[in-house]
Amino acid sequence: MPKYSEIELIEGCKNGNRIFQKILYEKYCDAMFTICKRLLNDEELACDAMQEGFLEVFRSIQSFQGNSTVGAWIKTIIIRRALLIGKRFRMFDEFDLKQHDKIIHWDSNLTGEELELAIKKLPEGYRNVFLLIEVEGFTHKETAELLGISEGTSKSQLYHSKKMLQKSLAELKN
Amino acid sequence: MTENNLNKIWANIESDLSLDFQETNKVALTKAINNLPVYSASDKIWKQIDSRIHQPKIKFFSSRKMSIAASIVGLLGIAIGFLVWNHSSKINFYAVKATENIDLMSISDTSTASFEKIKNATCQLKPNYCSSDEFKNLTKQYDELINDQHRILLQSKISDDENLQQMLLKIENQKKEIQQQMIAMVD
Repeated sequence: MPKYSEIELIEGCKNGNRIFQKILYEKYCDAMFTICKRLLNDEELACDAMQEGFLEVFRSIQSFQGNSTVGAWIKTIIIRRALLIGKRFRMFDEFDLKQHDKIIHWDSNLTGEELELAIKKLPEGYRNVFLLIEVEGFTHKETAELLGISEGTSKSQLYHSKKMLQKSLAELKN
Repeated sequence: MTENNLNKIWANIESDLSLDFQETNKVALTKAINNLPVYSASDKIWKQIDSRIHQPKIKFFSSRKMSIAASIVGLLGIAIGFLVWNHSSKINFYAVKATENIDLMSISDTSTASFEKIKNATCQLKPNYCSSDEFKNLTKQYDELINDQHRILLQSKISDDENLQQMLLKIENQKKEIQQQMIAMVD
């Protein structure tokens, strides 16, 4: 398949060209599916988020101004859609009333697979904040905006998510 | 809520307000994040996206529906064959009632055109029947149904509403009933 520049891909998609839409989808589908699956902790819901999200991408691509990379633009749309779908199935997060110490130590032997298992066990609110900030690289401000929470809550949720991850990882090791 | 619980909540809030926690060996976390597994999106996701982006506005066609359509057109063809010309005064024609969701857009045009031909041929042969008030009234009702059908067909081009197809089916059947009444009069 010939290589197309980002501009060519966008123009093709703006013209409703199915081939360009497919190429753009294939370029980002695995990365976006991975984000959806982690955020929603459910494969079927992740598929729904992908469908709804990419439909929104192709339907609103005329409004893409190029102020960010197309990848970042798509990622924001997909994450918003996944969070929206997550809200329909939201469960109340556990709120830990215990006092925590303020030191978080990460084990040098921590692997991606172990971290993945621990992330899956996080309550939805903690998981979303951890994934958006630590994995996807959003700032607290951007995360707060995406999740409809305050920056302070975002910081607090990140701290609690890390404490819970540590607890889960310790249990996994034992 | 007990005072004890309120105090715990406040302690938690106070703790969160001063979130100056420390992370040691964060490089291990970064390394694990970079090694998180990547999942592959299944092909069915694209197929569903593609079908929803490019779905035609009117989805009437299917091989089964086409075969029903072909049968109806075939029957009309046979009816025309009988009519043009059966030298006896008896007219051997019957209207076929649509019982399923079929390609009404093409069938209604075909059946309407075919029936018009039959009607015109009959009226040339038997002008007395066609000039009766009852026949004229039926013709008027029939024309109104055709107009309604065209209006709904236009609407269906910009709408996916499945009710429109049901309405078309209903109108098509009403047309068939009128056709049968007209045939019965001439017969």
